[in-house]
Amino acid sequence: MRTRRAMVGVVYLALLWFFGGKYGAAVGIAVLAADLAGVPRRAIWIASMAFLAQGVPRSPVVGSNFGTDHLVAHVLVGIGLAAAAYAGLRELLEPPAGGRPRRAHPER
Amino acid sequence: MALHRVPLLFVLGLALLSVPILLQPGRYLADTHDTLWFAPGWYLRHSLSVWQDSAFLRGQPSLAPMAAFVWALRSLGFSLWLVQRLWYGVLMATAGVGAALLVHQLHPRLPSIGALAAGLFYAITPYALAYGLLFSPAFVPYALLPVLLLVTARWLPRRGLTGPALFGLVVFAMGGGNGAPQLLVLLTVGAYVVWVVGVERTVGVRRALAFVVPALAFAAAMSAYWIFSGSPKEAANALAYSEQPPVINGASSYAESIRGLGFWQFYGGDAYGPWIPAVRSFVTSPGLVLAGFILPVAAVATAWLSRWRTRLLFLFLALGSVVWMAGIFPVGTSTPFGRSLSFAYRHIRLVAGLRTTYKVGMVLELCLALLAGIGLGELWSRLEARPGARRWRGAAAAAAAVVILAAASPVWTGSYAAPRSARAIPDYWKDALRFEQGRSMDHRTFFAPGTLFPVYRWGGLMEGVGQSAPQISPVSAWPFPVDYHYETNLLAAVERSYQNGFHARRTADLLRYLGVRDVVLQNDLDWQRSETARPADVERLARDRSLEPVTSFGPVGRYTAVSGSGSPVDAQLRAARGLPPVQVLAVPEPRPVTRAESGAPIVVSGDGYGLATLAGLGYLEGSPPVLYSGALDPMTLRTLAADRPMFVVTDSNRRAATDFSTARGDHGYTLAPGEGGAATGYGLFGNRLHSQSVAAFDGVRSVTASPSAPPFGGQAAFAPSNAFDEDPRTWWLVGAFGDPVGSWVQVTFDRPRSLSSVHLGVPPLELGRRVSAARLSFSDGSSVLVPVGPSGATATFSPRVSTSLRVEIAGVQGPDPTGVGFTDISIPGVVARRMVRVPDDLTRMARDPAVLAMMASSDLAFVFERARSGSQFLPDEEQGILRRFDVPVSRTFSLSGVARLDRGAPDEEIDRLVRGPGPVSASSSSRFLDDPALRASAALDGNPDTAWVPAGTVGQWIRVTFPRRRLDRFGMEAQSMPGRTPISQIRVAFPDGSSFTRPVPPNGRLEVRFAARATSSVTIAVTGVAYAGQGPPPPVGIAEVRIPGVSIPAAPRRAAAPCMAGPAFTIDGRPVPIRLQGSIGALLDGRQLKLSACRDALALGPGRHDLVAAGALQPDTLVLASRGTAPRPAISGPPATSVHARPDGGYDIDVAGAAAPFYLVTGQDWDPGWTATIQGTSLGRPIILDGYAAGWRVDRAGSYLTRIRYKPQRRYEAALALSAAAFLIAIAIVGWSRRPRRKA
Repeated sequence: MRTRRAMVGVVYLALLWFFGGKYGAAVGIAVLAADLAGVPRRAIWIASMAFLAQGVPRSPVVGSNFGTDHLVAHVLVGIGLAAAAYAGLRELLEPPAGGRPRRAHPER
Repeated sequence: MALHRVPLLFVLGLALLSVPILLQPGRYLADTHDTLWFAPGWYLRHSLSVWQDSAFLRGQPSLAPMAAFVWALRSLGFSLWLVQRLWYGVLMATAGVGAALLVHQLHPRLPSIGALAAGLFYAITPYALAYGLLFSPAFVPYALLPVLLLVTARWLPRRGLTGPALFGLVVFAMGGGNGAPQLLVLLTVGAYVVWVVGVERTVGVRRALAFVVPALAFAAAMSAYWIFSGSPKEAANALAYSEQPPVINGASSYAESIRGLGFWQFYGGDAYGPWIPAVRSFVTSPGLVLAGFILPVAAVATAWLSRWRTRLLFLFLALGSVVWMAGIFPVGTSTPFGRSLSFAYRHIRLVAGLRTTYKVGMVLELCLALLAGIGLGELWSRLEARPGARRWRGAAAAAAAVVILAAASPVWTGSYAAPRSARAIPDYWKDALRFEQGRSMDHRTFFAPGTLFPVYRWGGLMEGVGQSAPQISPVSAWPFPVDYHYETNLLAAVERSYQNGFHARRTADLLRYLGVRDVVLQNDLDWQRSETARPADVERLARDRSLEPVTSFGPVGRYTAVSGSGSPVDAQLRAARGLPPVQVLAVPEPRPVTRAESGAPIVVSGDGYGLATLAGLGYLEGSPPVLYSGALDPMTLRTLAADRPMFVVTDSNRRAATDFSTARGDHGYTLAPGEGGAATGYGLFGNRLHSQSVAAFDGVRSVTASPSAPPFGGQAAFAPSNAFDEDPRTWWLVGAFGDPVGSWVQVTFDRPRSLSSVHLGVPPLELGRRVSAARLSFSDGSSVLVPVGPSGATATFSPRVSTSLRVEIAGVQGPDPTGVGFTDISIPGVVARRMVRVPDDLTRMARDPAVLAMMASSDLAFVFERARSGSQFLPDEEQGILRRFDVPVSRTFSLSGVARLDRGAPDEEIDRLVRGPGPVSASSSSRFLDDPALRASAALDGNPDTAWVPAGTVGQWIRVTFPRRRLDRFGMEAQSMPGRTPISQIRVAFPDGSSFTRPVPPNGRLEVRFAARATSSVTIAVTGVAYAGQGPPPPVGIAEVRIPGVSIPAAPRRAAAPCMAGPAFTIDGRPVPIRLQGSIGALLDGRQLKLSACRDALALGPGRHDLVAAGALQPDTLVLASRGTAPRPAISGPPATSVHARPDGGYDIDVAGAAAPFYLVTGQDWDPGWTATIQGTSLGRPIILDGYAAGWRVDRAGSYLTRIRYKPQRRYEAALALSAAAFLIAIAIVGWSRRPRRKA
């Protein structure tokens, strides 16, 4: 399990670097560090939602530069997405007890 | 599915079906194509043909399912707006019910409220209302995405072909378009299949393949009809001319995308408000913004708290969708993903087709809706056993209702407004269209002016009124040359007169080539919103004597101008109010669209703009066949020998960045070879350099500049070379409405030069910004920072040898966002002269001896036109005509043209022009309003009623130069009258440096005496005035300067201008004496006069020649014409033809009694797919005839049938057959599987 988690960590970090550049990698390191430090998974989910909700633009002035005028919102939502991605990955790799699910539809 | 759910889903569907009826009831919303809505039957019939005689149908037969829906309802008598709303309603209901059914399929035990909520969350979103309904073909895949997932989820585990057949039918129902949404839908379904096979492992690989392979086969077969309706070349072309990734991802931040926004058009606007008003409140209203985040947060909460395993698939799909939607945002500082995307966009066409990343929004919206709906459903279940369940459930339902109501706010607040809509087309337009339908059907109807966004004062349409009546073969200038390069170029050239402010002359000669019979003037267009020519300018067509007025429709002044606004002195507004909303003009002796032509052809180097110039000069009278040299090869050219063609080289088809977003066709300055990349101009003749007019430099190797902001590539009048031409009237300017710091201009010398000083002159833009610092960089790597003041700067530095000088703007000063730059960057000994090298493709073909022999004996002409702005508010791109051209063989030319006085020319040059050279000259600092009558010599003509009047007071000067003489006095008479500021003091200066001042008495008369001296000039500068009024003082004036023995008698206004020769008009550096046909008075009044060479003929040898015509006499057009020695062939008319248009887009043409070679013109834009055969014998590859059309030279006598076909039609018909067969098979399979079965 530890090897699997390490591999997930590397892949996750690589993905965050790819999609977010050096800032993405920094966010990835922070999320991994929090996980290593024993921060519970639910805290990562909650953090994800909290960051997503920070995407509110600070000014209603609309123009072609609207996106770049609200880069902070872009970054915060990006952190939220990164946290959700990690929490989801962990959820996928460490499913709740019960083992591998049975086939829902038996092949006919 | 449980039966108790059916009524709920029915109610959901009915509710969603009725939502669009609340959107602007009674109004037609501009969506997709006007033809599809107004004439769906016509649209359907023509969907059987892959070639369409309209720029708005090509490659769009994929919309046939939508057209069938519209046609069926309209046939039942439903009104247009109701049909449109029902169409939207069906899409929304399909989306909502499909999403609800999908929830039931994926999570069978979920309470119905979860499925209903998911359906509403998905169907009612800003994405659906503000994007989907405005581009409804792209919304169909959105509506069907959940249905396709439902089919996949339900039938993936099952055996048989029912599921794959249903899958194919759903994909078929999506229609086509550019294919991007369909591909995204399939990718989403693919992700689901991978998930259930690879992660959940609920379906085996073999079973999955047994579903996927036939499903994709059905989908591909049923989509074949639209996949093969276009060509890869068209797709690439569309990508080149549509919006680019930096624009697409300009606002697609994660924060906006995750709310279903981020589409770049949502954030744009103009003086008339937001481009898409329906969505603006989602960006500006705090409540709606907050509500927009509820769904994403709820989706993440579901992913966290739910135990439903598939939730993670939709979580990951949602995350991936947001990242994809953001694309290369933030533009310019992209991540590795953004850079990879940019690279892929440039190099992989399939990826480039997916660059409109906003379309991924449908996947995001579905994932969020499913997760939030399932979260609500599970919450509903969990609350059941809790105390206070009703209260908590009520709160949960209320939260869901808030999300739905917020998303639907444009509906229930009544604020929904499509960018363009109309209540009805006015009756006068219906009368006009009926009138046109009663005219001959063999011709086209030209609607002027063209526009990309037709907004009439009574409402907006998608493409214009003409397209609502396709039976009349409407044609209008549409800016983007996406499919129809040559036709678009020619139509833009036809429009040049009224779009760019030129006189319309012989427009009918051009329109005949297009098969136009009638010209319909749309005076009721809101020209400002439509970004096109105003009615008073379009009226130039009505004044064109080549067109005949026929009739008009509608009351005078109705919708032709904004009532009650505008300046009362606005003559154009007054003119517009005196116009009827619709005028019809006729082209005399029109020619059919598809036709035979005969006569000596004209082979033109250039493009449609060159043809427009030739038409104005009368070259196209009689409609001779026209061929473009850029599209010919020597072998084809040789076949024309017997027709004795005339060769004309123009300076059109310029290499320049062009703004295709408006009908005005704004373009940048003429670029040098290699500048501008591939996307320059109309892309004619494969963008080959030898067919283009390009910039060439004299005196330096090159002048380049930093790339300017797209799309203009630098305004035409402010070319970089203006900074090095030593003409203070021409400027290099950059950075208007942007940040010019960092922009640079560079001159590369023809040899290494020793530099020690450079003068930087700045434009006198008193109210705008100016350069405050510049960095000079040299080829040795050194640089110098120079502070620049309001009057420029002279930089001196240690001498250094350099091969180039780059001047970079290092700082600017001033409040307004005007462009900044330099009038001149003066380097001792360096003057850059920008010429235009005209196309030399003919000369290159003349390397073929047979072609050379043909050109030696044929008529040959060079026709040059000065690039002008046509606007009094914009300077011209060129001040003169400087051309570099090649003569293939020694010829003798006559010179003709038209020219006018350059009002900005120096005084002494004007004198030289009207009087010829003389011993006495007078110059001055300026002239009031540049009026030539107020030049310096007016003070030396002995007439006190005329005067030198400068543009100012103190600091202005007049200088008189004469043969050296002894002088001890002179007299002066300053003007003292209303409208002039009295002069109170002058300074007199001599060439030896001596000077003195004198007071001027109030009556202005002054006798100046001084110590006798020998001198050759006197300069009188105004150093004091007597003005105590408010505001800026009027100018001073000096009526007379009396120097004994020195005068410049006024040239008689009625006298003919003399033969003139000088450096201003040369060929290869040798002056060419020219004569104007007109009086001196007409010249000074600024009228355009004809000119010719004083000598009879100009002999030019083979090779390259430089023509320079610039100076006080400013030529507008110049023609060097040489008559050929070959006898003209006897002109016989074209053979009689009978044209039968086929439903497949081809033609059968019966030719009767052909006695001589002739040209067969399809009248359709050139495309290599056109073929022609006579009794099974091919006529070969089509040539470009008459500036745009595919055609052939036919050298076959007698009577026969010619079959013209569009080759891709055969492939299209095969694809249609395949799609039809696959459709029928799929229906049969589904029908068979649903048959009633007897119970065992």
